[in-house]
Amino acid sequence: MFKNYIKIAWRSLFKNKFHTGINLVGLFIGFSIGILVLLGVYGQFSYDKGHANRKKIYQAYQVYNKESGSQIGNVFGYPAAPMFKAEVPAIDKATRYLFGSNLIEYKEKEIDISTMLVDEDFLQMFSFQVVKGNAVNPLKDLTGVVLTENAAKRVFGNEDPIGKTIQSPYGGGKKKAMTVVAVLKDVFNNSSIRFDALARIENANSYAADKNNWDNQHHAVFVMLKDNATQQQAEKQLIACNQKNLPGWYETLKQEGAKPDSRGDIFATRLLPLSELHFSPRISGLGNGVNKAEIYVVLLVGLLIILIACFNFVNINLANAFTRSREIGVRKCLGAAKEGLFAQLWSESFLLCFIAFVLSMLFVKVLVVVIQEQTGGGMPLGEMMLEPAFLLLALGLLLLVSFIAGGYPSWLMSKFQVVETLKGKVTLKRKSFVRSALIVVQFVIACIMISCTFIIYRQFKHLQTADLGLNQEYLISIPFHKPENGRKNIEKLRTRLASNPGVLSISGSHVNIGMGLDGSSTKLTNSFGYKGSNITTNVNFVDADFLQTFGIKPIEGNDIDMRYAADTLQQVILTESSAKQFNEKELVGQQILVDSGAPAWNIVAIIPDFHLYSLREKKEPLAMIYTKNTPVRYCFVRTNAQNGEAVMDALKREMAMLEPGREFKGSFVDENVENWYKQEKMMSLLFSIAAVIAIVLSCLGLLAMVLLIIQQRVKEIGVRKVLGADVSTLSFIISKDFLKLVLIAVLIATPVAWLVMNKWLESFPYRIAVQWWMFVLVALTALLIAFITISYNTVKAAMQNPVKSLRTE
Amino acid sequence: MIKITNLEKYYRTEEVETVALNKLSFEVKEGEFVAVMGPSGCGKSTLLNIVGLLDDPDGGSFLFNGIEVAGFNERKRADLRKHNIGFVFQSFNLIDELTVFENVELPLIYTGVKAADRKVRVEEVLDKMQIMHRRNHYPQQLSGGQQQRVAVARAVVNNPKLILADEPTGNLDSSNGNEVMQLLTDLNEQGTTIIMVTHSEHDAKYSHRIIRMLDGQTVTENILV
Ligand SMILES: Nc1ncnc2c1ncn2[C@@H]1O[C@H](COP(=O)(O)OP(=O)(O)OP(=O)(O)O)[C@@H](O)[C@H]1O
Ligand SMILES: [Mg+2]
Repeated sequence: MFKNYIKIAWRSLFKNKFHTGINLVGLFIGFSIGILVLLGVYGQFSYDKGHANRKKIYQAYQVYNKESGSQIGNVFGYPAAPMFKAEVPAIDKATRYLFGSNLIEYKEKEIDISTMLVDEDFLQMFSFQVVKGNAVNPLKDLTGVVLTENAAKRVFGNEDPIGKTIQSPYGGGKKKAMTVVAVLKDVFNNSSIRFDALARIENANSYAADKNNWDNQHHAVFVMLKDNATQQQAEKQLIACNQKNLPGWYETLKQEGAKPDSRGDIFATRLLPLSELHFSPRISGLGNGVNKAEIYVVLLVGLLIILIACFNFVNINLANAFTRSREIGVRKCLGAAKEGLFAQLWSESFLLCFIAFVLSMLFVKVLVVVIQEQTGGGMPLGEMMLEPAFLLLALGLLLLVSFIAGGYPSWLMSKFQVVETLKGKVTLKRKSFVRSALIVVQFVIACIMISCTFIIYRQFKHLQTADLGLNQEYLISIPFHKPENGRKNIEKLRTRLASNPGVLSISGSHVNIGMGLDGSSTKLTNSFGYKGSNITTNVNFVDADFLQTFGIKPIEGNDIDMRYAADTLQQVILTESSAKQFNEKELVGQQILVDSGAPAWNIVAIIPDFHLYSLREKKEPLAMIYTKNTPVRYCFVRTNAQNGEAVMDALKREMAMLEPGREFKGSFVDENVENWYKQEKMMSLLFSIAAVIAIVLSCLGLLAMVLLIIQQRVKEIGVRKVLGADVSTLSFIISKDFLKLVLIAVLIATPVAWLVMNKWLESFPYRIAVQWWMFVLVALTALLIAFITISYNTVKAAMQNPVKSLRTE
Repeated sequence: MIKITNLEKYYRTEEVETVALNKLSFEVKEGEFVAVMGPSGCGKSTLLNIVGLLDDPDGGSFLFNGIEVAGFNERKRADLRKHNIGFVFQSFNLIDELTVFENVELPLIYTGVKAADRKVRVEEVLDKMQIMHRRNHYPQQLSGGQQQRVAVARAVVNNPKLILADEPTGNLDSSNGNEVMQLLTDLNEQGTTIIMVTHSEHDAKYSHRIIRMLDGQTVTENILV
C-alpha cells in the first residue's frame, strides 16, 4: 500500500511542476532556517556538558540588596573561597579563578598565552584531561604550570614541555619562573571556562599583600558540593558563614538602608549551577555567555519563518486540492477509506517535505563547514549536526512541518463528499476563510519583522552615534601587553612623537572606551566612608592630559598635570555626580582623606558625567585617579582627520619597539564604540535577514495564490472584457481581494510590533522613541511589495485576448 | 437482491428544498439487467448513488441482499460497496496519474488482495476487455471507447455481484457505445446484475426491463424479455 502511495505521490508532484517548485523552494528556505536555528541553539545548550561533576559544580556570586536596588557581584576577595571550603559543610571543593597573564616567556621569546590562576581543586572539579605529565594532581606544586596541548605546541614546538621552565608575570607583577608539570587536552570549544595555561593563584602579584583582604574583590569562585548536598543547603550555610565572618558588611549595608529581598537577605552568597553559567552572562561575568532571552528570540524568529513556509504549502495544497477532487471521489467510490486517503495525501506532502529537508540538511552542513573554515574557530557545528540527539531534533522538525503543512489539506481532502466530487461540484472558492487567514498571518509576521528590523536598526544607530560626553573621533586606543610598564611607555611615546604634527595629545586609561581588539572590559568600584557618609563610585586609573586627549571640558579645575606627579599624592578628577556625594562646597584644590587607607585624594577637576561604559548602562559616579605607579592598560592618542591612518602607522612602529614581538592591537575609538553595540548590530542583522526571508516567502505564497485564482477566473475576465471592462479596472478587481488581506495584516501587525518594540526598548536607559511614521513607512513598504507581486500577473491576465480565454471551454 | 420501498431523498439549499426521490419503490432480482430512463433532473443519478451506497437516503427502506442498509454509516457502506458493487460512469472517471493497469488494480488494493494475485486478476480482465496491449498507457493516451473499456474492466475486476452504470455510452460514438453495451450484456450473461441509467432507447433495448421515472417516482416498467 505504502509503495503505491509513494508512486502516486511522485507522479502528482511531477505533474504539478509549478506548484511543486514553489513548494520546494519555500520548504527548502524554511527548513534551512529551521535547521540552522536548531543547530545554533543546540550548540548553545551543549555548553559545559563535558564535566563529569557538572551537576555538583556551581559558581558563587554575591547579592547586595541596596536601597537603590539589588546588585550582583561575581568577584570575591582572596579569603572567600578557602573559607567557604573550610566552613560550609555542603561544599566539598572550591577554586578561585583569576586572570593571571597574557604571555609566557620561553628562551627570550614571548608568546601570547592566557594563564588563569586557580586552586589545587580546579582540576579535580572540572574534567580537563591530562595527556602528558603529572596526571594525579598537577596543581599540587606552587611553581607548577599546566598547559593545553595547543599552548604547549606554540611555546615548545616539538620539544617535550614537561620539566621545562618558563617565565610569566602574574597579575602585572614581576616575572616568575615556573615549571611545566602537565599538558592538558585543549579546552573544548563549548566551554565557559577557557584558558591556555593554569597556575596556582598564590603566584598572583597581589596575593601576599591581599590574601586576607575581603574588600579587594577580583576573581570568580567555583565550588563543588558534596554528593548528597543540595544547592539550598549550601546557600543557607553560606549565609551563616557570611554572618559569622563578615559582620561589618551587614552593618554597612544596613546603615545605607539596605532592605531584605524576597528571600529575606540583605546580603547573600548564592550559587549558579554550571548548566546555567552560559546563559547568565550578567552573573557569571565570563564574557562568552548568552542570555536565554536572546536564544528564545532567535528560536521564535526561526519558528515564525518555518510557519510562513508551512502556510505557503498549506495554501497551495488547499488550492490544488480542488483540482484533485475527482480523483479522490473515484478512489472513495472504489472503496478507499478516509484514513487511507489521508495517509496517501499526507505521504505526498511528506515526500516533498522530506526532499526539501534532505536538501536543507546538506546545504546547512556545507554552509557551517565553510563558515568554520573561513572563520577558523567557534563550535564544531558541522560535527554536531551528526550527533544522534541533533538528528532526532531535526527529524522532529521534519515531522512537525509535514504535519502542519501537509496535515490540514490532506484531512480536508479526505473529507470530500463522493457524490459531490463525482459531479465536479467541488471547486476552488474565490474567498476561503482559511486561505485568507493564512495569508494574513504570513503578512502579519513579515510586517512585524520589518518593523522590528527598522526600529532595532534605528536604536543601534542611536546608541552608536549618541554623545558620550567625550570626543571619540580621531582617537586611537592601544592596549598594553604589560600594564605595569604602561606609564613608562606612554612617557616614551610622548617624547618620540612630540614632533609628529598628527599627534595632538597622549594619555592613558585603565578602562578602555569601546570594545577594542583585545575585547576586554573592566569595572572597578570603590566604596568608602567620608565624614560619616558612604561614597560609592566607579574608579578609573588614568594618565596625564586625560581631559585634553578625550576632549572633555572641565566644569571646574584643570587637567591632570604630570609635573605634580608624586608617589603618594593622587590627582583625582571627579564627575559631577561623584563630586555631589561628598557634599562639599569647595572640592577642587582640596585634599580629601578617604578612610579606605589610600593616600589622600587631591581633587584637580570636576567634569560633567560622561559614558565610560556603553549606553546600555546608566552613567554612574566616577573618580579618575592619577598616581605614578598604578598600572595603565590602554594608551589613548588624539589625532585629527588628515593624519589618522599615518599616526596609526607611526604608533605601530613605535609599539613594535616598546613591546617587541607583540601583535599591535591599536584601533580607533569610534569603531570600538560601535563594537559595544555588536549585539544590537547582530540583532538588527538577524532581523533584517529574517524580514527579507519572511517577505519573500509570503510573496511567493501570494504569487502562487494569485496565479491559481487567475486560472480560475480566466473566463470571468474574458466575459468582463467583452462587456467593455478595461485593463486597469480588471487588474483592480483581481488585486483588491489580495491587497485587502495585506492591509488587514498591516493593521494587526502594527500594534503588536509597537508593543514588542517598546518592551525591548525599555531595557535601554537611552533609547529612541517609537513614532507613528515608522509604522506608516513599514505598511507602505509591505503594501508596495505585495502590490508589485500581484500586479504583474493580474495585468498580464487582464491584457489577454478575451477570445482566447473564452474559447477554452 | 435489491428491494427499495418508499425511498426519499431531498436536497436542501438555503432557499429551496428539492425533492429528488419521492417515495420511490422498486425491486431488482439477482441476474437482472435493468435500464432506468427518464427526463433530465428526474432523479436517476440520485437513485443510482443510493443504490451504489455512495449516498444515504432521507427516508424509506433499502434492502441489499436482505440487509437493511438505509442509515448505514460511511464506513459500513464503503465496506459493503467495495466487495459487491462496480461502477461505470459517463465520464469514465479514470485517474490520470495511474496507468491502465494501475487503474484497474485499484479496487483490488482497497479490498486487500495480495500483489501477485492482483497481477493475475488484472491481466485476466484486461485480456477479456481486449485492452491488454495498452496496459502501461495513461488514460489520456487512449480513445474514449478504450477508456470506457478500462472503466468497465475496473468495475468488474473485483467480481462484483452488481454493476451500476450511469450513462455509460453518453460520451461515446455509436460503434464504441455498442461495444460497451455488448460488454455489459456479456457480463450480465455471466451472472452479474446490472442497473444502467440511460437516455438512449437503443441502449435500453439491451436490458431485460426498463424503469421509467418522472419527478422522483417510477411511472412505468416495461418488461422486454
Ligand atoms: N447536490 C445537490 N443539491 C441540490 N440539488 C440537487 C443536488 N443534486 C441533485 N439535485 C437535484 O435533484 C434532482 C435530481 O437530480 P439527478 O442528478 O438525480 O437527476 P438526473 O435524473 O440524473 O438528471 P440527468 O439526466 O440530467 O443526469 C434535480 O432536480 C437536481 O437539481
Ligand atoms: Mg444524471
